[in-house]
Amino acid sequence: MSDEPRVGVFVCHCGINIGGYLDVPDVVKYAETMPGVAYAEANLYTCSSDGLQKIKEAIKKHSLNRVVVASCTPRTHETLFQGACEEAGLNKYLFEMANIRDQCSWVHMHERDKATQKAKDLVRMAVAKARLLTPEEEPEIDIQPVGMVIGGGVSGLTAALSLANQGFKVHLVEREVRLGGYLNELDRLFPNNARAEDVTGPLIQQVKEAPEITVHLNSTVTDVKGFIGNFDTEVTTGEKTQPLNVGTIIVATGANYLNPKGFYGYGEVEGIVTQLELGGLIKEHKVGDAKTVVMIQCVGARTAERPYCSRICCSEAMKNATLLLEEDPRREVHILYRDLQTYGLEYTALELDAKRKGVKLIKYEAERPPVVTKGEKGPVVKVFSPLMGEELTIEADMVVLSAPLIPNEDNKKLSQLLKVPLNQDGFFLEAHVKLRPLDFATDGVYICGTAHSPKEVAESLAQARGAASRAGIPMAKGRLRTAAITSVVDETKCSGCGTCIELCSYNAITKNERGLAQVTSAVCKGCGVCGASCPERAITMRHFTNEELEAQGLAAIKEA
Amino acid sequence: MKPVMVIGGGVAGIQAALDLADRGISVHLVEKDPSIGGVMAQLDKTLPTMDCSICILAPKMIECFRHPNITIHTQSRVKDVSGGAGDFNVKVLKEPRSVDEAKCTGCGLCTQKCPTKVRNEWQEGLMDRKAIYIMFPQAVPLTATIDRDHCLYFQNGVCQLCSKVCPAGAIDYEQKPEELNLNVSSIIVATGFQEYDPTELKEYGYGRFKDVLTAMEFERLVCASGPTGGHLNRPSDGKLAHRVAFVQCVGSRTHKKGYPYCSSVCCMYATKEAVLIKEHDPAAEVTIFYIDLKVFGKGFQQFVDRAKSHYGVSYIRGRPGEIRLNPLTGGLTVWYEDTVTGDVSSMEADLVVLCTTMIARPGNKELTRALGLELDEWGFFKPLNPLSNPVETGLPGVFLCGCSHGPRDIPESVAEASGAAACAAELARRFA
Amino acid sequence: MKYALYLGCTVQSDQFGYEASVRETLPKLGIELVDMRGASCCGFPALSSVSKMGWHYLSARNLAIAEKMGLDLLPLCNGCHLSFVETMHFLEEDPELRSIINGHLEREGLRYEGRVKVVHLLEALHDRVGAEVIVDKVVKPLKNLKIASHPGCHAIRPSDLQKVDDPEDPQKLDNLIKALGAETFDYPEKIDCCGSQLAVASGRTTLKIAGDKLKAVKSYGFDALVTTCPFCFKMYDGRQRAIKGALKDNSLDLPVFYYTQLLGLALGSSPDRLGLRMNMSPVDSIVERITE
Repeated sequence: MSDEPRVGVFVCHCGINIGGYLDVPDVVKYAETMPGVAYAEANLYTCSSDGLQKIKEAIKKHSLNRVVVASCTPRTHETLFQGACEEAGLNKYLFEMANIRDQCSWVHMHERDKATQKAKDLVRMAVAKARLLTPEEEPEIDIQPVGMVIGGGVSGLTAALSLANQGFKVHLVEREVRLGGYLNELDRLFPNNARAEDVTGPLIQQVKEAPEITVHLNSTVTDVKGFIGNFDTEVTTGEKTQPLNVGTIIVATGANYLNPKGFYGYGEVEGIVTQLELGGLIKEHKVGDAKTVVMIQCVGARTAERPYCSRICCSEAMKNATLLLEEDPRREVHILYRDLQTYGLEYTALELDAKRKGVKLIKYEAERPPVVTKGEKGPVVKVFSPLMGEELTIEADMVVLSAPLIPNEDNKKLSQLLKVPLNQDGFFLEAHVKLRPLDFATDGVYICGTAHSPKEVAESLAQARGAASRAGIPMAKGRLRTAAITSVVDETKCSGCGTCIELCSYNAITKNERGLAQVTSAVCKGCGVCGASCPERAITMRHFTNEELEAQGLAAIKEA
Repeated sequence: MKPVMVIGGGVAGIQAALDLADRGISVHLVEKDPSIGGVMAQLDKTLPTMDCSICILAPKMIECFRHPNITIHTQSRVKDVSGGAGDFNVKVLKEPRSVDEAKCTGCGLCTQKCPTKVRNEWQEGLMDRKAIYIMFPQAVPLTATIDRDHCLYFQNGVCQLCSKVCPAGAIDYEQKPEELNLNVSSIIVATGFQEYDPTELKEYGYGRFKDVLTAMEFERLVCASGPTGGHLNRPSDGKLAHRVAFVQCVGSRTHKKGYPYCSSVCCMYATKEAVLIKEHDPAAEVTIFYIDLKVFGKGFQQFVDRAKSHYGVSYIRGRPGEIRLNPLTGGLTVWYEDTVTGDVSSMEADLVVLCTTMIARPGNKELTRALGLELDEWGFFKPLNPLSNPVETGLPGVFLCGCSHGPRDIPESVAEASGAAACAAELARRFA
Repeated sequence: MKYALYLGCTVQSDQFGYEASVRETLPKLGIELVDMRGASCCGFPALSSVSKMGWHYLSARNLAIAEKMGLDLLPLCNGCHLSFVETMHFLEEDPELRSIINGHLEREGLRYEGRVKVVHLLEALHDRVGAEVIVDKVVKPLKNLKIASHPGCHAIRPSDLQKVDDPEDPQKLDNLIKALGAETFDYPEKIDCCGSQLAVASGRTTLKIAGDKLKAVKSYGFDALVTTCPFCFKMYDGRQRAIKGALKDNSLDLPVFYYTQLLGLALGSSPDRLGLRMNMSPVDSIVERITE
């Protein structure tokens, strides 16, 4: 293959999608006049097996060493054409596409001449870049078939077990002295009133028995370096620190329960407990004399300071109310709520059951919250009910505050170690809210459970299994082919300002020993933000080099 | 390793298929419609990021199509299942498209020339399609299919225009239904949901009043690929709608006509749709009539706060009692009680959107007979244990995800899909 | 078709126009009406509010009389119809009540077995005779007249039992109006109550409720309002002057008819045979338009 670029241009009719709105043969004729173009032809459907065959034949017949296809969108067809080039012996990065359908014929359906001219411009730009393209290699990295799960609560246990069942070794790192996490503090779980220990017990047993899983109790992750497939971590247990090399990391660190100090007299007035504490009292049958119980929802949640809804509190209140009423049907249990967050099949059933057993629901408005004061015999709750149009006074034996789950205090440190973001509420922020809820933007790190956001146990378990699937994918592959479109730092130009490091969303750039920027190609997504912002123009993108982009830009405004 | 079958090509089925295929396990993705994509492909935008729904879904659909480890079977249904975990024998019946999938390029010429108009189900009946049609512009596979029940050739032996104009010679009237016998190690059920039909709630006038729509109809109306190019034109007279009312809990949280459960997602999608209207028309009057505002998801409360403070969407707590139509003006009146203030009042509206419940698909019954699974009283599939085994079923080797087992939103469905994929992967390894 | 004609109280005490028009028109449609000897009030609504036993006894007695005649019952009043239907239901559900009542009925040689069907006038005309038959017999079509349908509450509410028409979207009276050649269409207040049941508790409210509806009907361009219930008719027709006074709106004039009166005119009967002189609302111009 000679150094002199010999570009082949294939202009597609795409049936009538392109050919019906601009003059394809004219574009072909024009392409033939461009410097560097050794061959040009029109196809009815370049993407058909017939069209692909024509590309391969043309490459051989005309000794083409660059290929431009002017057709539809690279989003759907780039890989297809690249494959054809590779089959003809051409490096796939010597291929360039011009979108003359979505970006031309489809949006200029009633301006045939102008559309034809625009198609010519787009082809000219593509050819200008194609002439400068160089072959690129896609490096492969090894993926250690070892996973790390941070957090030994019910999510972490489930994720670890799933990974083990998938055949991977797992390091389960738990900061407390025992496994089980928050469920160790709970008794009855909704929706089916199972005992927490009946859920965690078997999981812990299975984890202990699984030969693939190594449990590190009393341990925390104190350092993380590297990238997907090869995270060099350090786990500290007491005084000792050991290095652990893992392929993937799952964050399952859970959440905390807000201590509602300062709300509704908690800690000051007697007889006020949290739902968590109530759970413990119910378990030990210590609720006894309390005949009138008032529960208050949204304590310290759905406020300006903490805007989010903690999802589980309404269901938890319903569950505890049901338990209280089952224990003693003569009790009066009032739930003061703003909006009942019982949802779906199971939790609505919980709500209906509580209603049937006699729970009294009183709505209050955020602007007029209840007031709790110390009465003679116990706490007194005053609440304005808009539905009744009057203020109610309830002399309670016990007031129960439904406080939200809050981010684990370790989140900040862990987010910095793993280089993953937190959202405004302090919970971990996933790669995409809708379609990638368990991934982080940083490859190889995953999230599940209440570390992500408040959720029910069932939801955590499903997520934990899901995170194990996500983490299992690269480990199952064993090797990861990374993209060639990555950034390259010219060290002779780099001033070590660190702008690129700050801007990189994927934490792919670090400072090397010389204090200069260094790109970890395996993690680089080729977004180009670094290249665009480097003040010294020291960074260029492979396959989108500064020269290539300049040539393309100039070609847009003037004839070749 | 043996392949896995995923029944249902919506976002959950797609995610499960990709998770398995990416780790080297083959997948048979069985979808009853001519294209994968499911309900998410019909939505306009998704909350809270307001991404264009099909724009974020289509790349995943294409990935499925091009993935060497995924075989998509469209217009296919599971008829019979025998065997057990690790070794299921599944009989799949594939209805004929009457179009050769290998030859069809999706150019759409046949759909232009076909003389027969049919109600377009994908567009929720707001516009027509032809007897030969491509389900929607981003369909995967992008292949035409003939609706034999309405095709002139299949009904009366005439026409055949499509075969005359097809440049690829892809029309094949002789195509027969195909029976596939597939042997798989596990089955993931991802059959999704359907919308409750509010016709029986006569007080809302759905079916009588043209400008009372269901939420799915609204999504199509406001979508750029819908009947009006995304303009909020009233179906009755084409005028732009400026005052829109949303009615929540239509068919849910009721002991009369409908279902007692809460459909989980409607408060949020109504907020999303309200914000969409405000983005189209900042002067629009948009009111959401709700009972309890469900804001329990990540970022949901903040989304509602923004809808109120930044976009000016109104929320009134009260279930409207009746919707009436003024025969002279064509305007709708929504009668309601604001339960917080106690006022009984009415609101004039140009358009009313009924936010209907997610209900189980009737196809679940047929599938459950073939699989031997259990359905709950609402027709949804039952998990093995709603607490500790949410994505497994009573049958080893059969897993659930998404709305097949109850109302839930997209992020939950996607997470569960990965969860079900993990179960299938673990099982595949055990039986390898 | 042969029915035992149940007149009820209100028709016999002052709604003569209704009775006259029913007796004039139904035979023309092939319905033979047989008078009931000894029939009494059905017990609704006054007695039913204070004595369940008394109410059911009275209704059951009338049903038993029809049963003895071997005929189905045709009540002319929405309220009577509901009363009979509910009584039949209660007597079906409660055998003890039934035996007590039969014990009383025995003294007159009557027995309630529950074999009688109660057919509302709307059902008889719409379901049994049929709109097509009426269309055929119309000689003076009600051309260019917009008539508003007022089915009345008790034809469609409150009970689930044997509803005469759909509670949210009743169309039977509308179809019958169209069969006469007149125009009709749905309007928002169509199924609103006339308010007459409130007359004892709050006269003013009653007048306002009825007046609001009349105003609305007028605003849609209707020429007249039609109903099949004597209570509703009495409200809109008999008390129209009082309504005008209460609403302080003298322009609130709306002709109100019984359906059978318009039916009679369309079938060619003379206005004299239909009791139209007894309508207190301004019906003359409409009658002229139809009969000329």
